[in-house]
Amino acid sequence: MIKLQQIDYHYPHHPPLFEGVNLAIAKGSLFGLLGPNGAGKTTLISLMTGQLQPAAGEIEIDGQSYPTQRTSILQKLAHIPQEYAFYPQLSVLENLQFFASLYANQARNRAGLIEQALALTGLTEQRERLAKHFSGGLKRRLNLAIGLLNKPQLIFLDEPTVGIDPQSRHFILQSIRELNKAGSTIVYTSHYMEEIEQLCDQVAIMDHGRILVHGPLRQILKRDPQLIVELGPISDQNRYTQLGNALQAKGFNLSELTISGHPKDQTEVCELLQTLASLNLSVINLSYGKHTLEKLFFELTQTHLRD
Amino acid sequence: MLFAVIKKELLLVSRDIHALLVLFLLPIVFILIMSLALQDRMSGESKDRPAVGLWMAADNRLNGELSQHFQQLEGVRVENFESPAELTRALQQGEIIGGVMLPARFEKIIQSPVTEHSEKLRVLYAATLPGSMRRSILGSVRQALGAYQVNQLFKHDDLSETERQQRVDHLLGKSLVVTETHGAITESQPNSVQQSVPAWLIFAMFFVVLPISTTLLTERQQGTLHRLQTLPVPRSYLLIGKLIPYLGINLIQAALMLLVGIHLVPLLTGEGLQLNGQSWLLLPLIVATSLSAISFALLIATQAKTTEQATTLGGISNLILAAIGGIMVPTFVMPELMQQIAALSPMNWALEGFFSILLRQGGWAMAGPEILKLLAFSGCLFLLSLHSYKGLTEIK
Repeated sequence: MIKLQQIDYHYPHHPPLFEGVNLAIAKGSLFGLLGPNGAGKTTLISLMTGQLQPAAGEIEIDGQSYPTQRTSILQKLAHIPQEYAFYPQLSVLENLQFFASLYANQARNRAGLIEQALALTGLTEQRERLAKHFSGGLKRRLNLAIGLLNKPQLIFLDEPTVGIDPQSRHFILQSIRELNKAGSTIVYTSHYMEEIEQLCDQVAIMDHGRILVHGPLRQILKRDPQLIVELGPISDQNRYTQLGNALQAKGFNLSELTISGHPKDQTEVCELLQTLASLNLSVINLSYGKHTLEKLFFELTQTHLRD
Repeated sequence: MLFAVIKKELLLVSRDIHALLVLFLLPIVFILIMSLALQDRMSGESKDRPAVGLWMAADNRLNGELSQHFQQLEGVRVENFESPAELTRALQQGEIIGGVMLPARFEKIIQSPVTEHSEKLRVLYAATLPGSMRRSILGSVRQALGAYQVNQLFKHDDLSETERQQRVDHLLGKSLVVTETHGAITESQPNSVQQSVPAWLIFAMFFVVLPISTTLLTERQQGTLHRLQTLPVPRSYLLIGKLIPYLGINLIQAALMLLVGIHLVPLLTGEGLQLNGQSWLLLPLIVATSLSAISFALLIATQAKTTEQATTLGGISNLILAAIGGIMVPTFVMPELMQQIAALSPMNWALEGFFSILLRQGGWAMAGPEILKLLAFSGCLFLLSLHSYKGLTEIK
């Protein structure tokens, strides 16, 4: 459905942000795009939605490419930005009527699409109210409803649950699932890892303009499992030194009383436990196996603060 | 698609109460106030002439005649006082600008060849009265005395009142003076209504800068412009969609202000705006003025970074264009250098266009150049703003 091949991009007077970026998003998937602030997520979405043009490489959406088939591509995608991108002085219906009328290809079915968008976002009862009087949750739902007016096959959602209560968040996530079930491909960015874990079947984690990992969520969380062992107190300095040497030889890290590493298989885990037993060291806690998305995210992007 | 953009803009401006006040109420208030305020200054014939006090020590025949001559003086209004004290008090309180006190035996004094008299006609001035006004009052007093004395020359002749008046006027030189106004018809001066109605209409039309810049910058700041970028709609449609509704708003403003000038202002000032056979030219003039105002507003809206910046820049620019363009101060009272500077303001081109049609009753030959200047100005500014707008939304 979406194919990015060897994409280069840099903002004017800035060093290159993307160099040779490749990404493929399958049709019908619910794709989570993760990355710290400044990683390049918004730029990547702007490239995929035709707002920016790459310096090199090709972006293909459903077999069509920018810039030659831009209008045709834009007819079938929707970008739902993080900002409340509508007119607060207009009512829900007036906003929907205005944005719907900008899609020439949906002229016949306009009224029906507006009703569908209202129903899916639970705004039917609010249709006559001015948007400026809405709560954050209602504004998010209107933002989403506007994005559905062209019956999009591809929807880009940029942090659609920021600043809203749990009920509104639950409703929006449920709506996104329904859209995906109905056949829309969804590209979803968020800083809420548990949302991505609940919602998405495919993910990509990016930082500094590079895609660090991407693929099916289950496989990513299973791959390269991490072992973490917390030890009890070690009174003998010699044993601590012996342990350090043994772990170094096996490729594990020792930080105070915590051992971490990526054993190739379960045999390596058993060998490590035998080493600890031979040194008569006690184990307080041990975790091994599947990552959480948050752990993987921090492991890949580190924990230092971003601008 | 274009209709939807126009409808959206009209809905937005119709719900902006501040914009509606600035666009419609402000100019009506200005037209009424300024028509009243400038009524006397610009009419040429003052209805409220400055008052000069007159006190006569004796109610004799001479003083009665002199009083009549004073009453006929041009440029001042004469008020009679019962005592010198009352006249002095009125002078001190600013009720009159000057005073004349006639002594009791003035008839004898005026007929006596002796120049030294203990009693004389006294002329008093308010302390703040400018020298020119003092000379004017003194001239008026001398004129009244002259008229009296010339009248005395014929008092024993067997003449009718009309004949005597003709001879007096002849001796005073009145019948020898003919007044003429020279200069081209283009130098006609507007009265207060002819100045105020078009001036404040033009000023209000240029204030579309407020709603236009507010809407465009809100679209930018709220991310609506970015959303519009991802919709299959040409950028030029979005900008033309802003131009057309404001052209309509400007036309409604113009119709409303002209109606105020024709029907409402006369109720207050007694003098209304009058249309003539060339008034059809007002339509192209108003359209050209509107396009200039909207293009100017679009350029400011696309250049500014924030709403505050746009409204400040737009407001100040409008005030400067109005100040130099003859909107606030009529150009005919400006010195020559300022009149040359005024000709640089598009508001002045529009105002001159109105004067050409309403005042000078000129046709296309007179109003056409102003209309063409406005169209050229709006064309240049619209292209610049379209370029800026594409810069804001272009694919980089």
